[in-house]
Amino acid sequence: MKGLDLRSYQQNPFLPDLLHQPDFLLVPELGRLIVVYVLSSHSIATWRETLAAVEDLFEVKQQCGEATVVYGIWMEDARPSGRENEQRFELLAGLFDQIDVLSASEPVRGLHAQIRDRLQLRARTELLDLWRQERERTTANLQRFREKWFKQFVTEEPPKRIGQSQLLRGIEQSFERTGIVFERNFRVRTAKEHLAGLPERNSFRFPIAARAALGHELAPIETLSFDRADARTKLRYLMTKGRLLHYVYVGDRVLYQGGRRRPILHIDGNLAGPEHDPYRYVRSLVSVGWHLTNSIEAIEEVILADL
Amino acid sequence: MQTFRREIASILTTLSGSPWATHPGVQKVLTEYGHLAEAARTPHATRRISLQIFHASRAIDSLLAQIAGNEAAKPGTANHTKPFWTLGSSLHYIEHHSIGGRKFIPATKTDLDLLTIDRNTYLHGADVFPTDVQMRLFLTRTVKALQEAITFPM
Repeated sequence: MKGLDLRSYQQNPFLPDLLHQPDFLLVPELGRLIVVYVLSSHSIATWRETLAAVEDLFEVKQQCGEATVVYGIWMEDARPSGRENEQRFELLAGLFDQIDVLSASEPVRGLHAQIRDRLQLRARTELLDLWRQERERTTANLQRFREKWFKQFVTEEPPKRIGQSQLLRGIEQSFERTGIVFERNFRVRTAKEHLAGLPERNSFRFPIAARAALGHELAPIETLSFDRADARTKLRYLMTKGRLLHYVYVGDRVLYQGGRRRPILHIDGNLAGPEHDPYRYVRSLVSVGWHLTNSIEAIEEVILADL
Repeated sequence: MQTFRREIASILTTLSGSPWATHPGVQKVLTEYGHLAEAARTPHATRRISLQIFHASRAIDSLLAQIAGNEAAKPGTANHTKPFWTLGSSLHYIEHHSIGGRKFIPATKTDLDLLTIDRNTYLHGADVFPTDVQMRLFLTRTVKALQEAITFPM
């Protein structure tokens, strides 16, 4: 970062609790941190990848503090075109503290000049409530987390894996036997649509949702077939889904709607994290409010606990 | 043998950018993390690891002491004036009185307890050195504790 007046900086940092590492950490002066992510059309080619990028933002705000500036640099010659691409970009632009478009033709000189112009950036104040509410919510969930309850998710034994359609058939048959009320293709509206100015069809979809009896809240059920390939993108996406499910937009504010939603994540596979922290992924998913299960009986237990 | 330069540089940069970096007592902690970063240059592996454990332990120890001391000095909070804070007494204060209503989550508290045990093992045991995996675990626990601590309100 020659020519930049920085107290400190690091390219390709490593912060152990981030699922996806930023490209730069910049400290323009003591007490002010700017975290830079370099983005491109490849990084948000799908909604899943876009929500994974949103998770990066949430994690930095949780791990480094709400005042940390999260700055995205869109390394392409222009903003994305096409309706879906524009919407995905808008979602990020609506949440990141700043996103600038930078010509990819002069990446190094352009990047330095761009960063120099943005050293005075401050965190956006309108989203501070969201970061604080989310910190309180995840901290409360982690206060209740005990590794011994989740041993079966980090076992070294080779996992038994079955396809999603077979699994869903099994779940439905079991629900019918036990009298649990369920709905297929369940959609949930969340604050996401408003944060990005998205149409209603962008609500979150779940393959199935169930409740113990009529009058009870439907518990959305997601399934995750977990293997090492692309594991982090899947996790980051599910983290954002787990977070945004709990917020609604009222007036011009994002509000936490309490713990009434009890989303269930059925894991097929081994969720063990790195060797030095095997519960890394389990802890993250629990922190954002997922009830983890790895059997149909366990799903039913979570639903019937609502009675 | 790994040197963990990248991880250590991230600790130093994150702490420099946190609001706590402007607190007068935290300047020394920053200097200590600077020593930790320098220790990665030591070519002899056992000396390097010894220095890294020494500096990493002193740094997290001093940071938590500053955070606990800062809170204890506020009017209306549980005032525990101490000539010095140890890692144990800082943790005890945070656990029982909180920092602006915040405490470490159980997983981080466990990490800090294990960090204390590891530190005592490696600093007091003759010819005892951690493996690369143990050292990574030690530094990871340090970073996680530090990251949670710097989000506590000043």
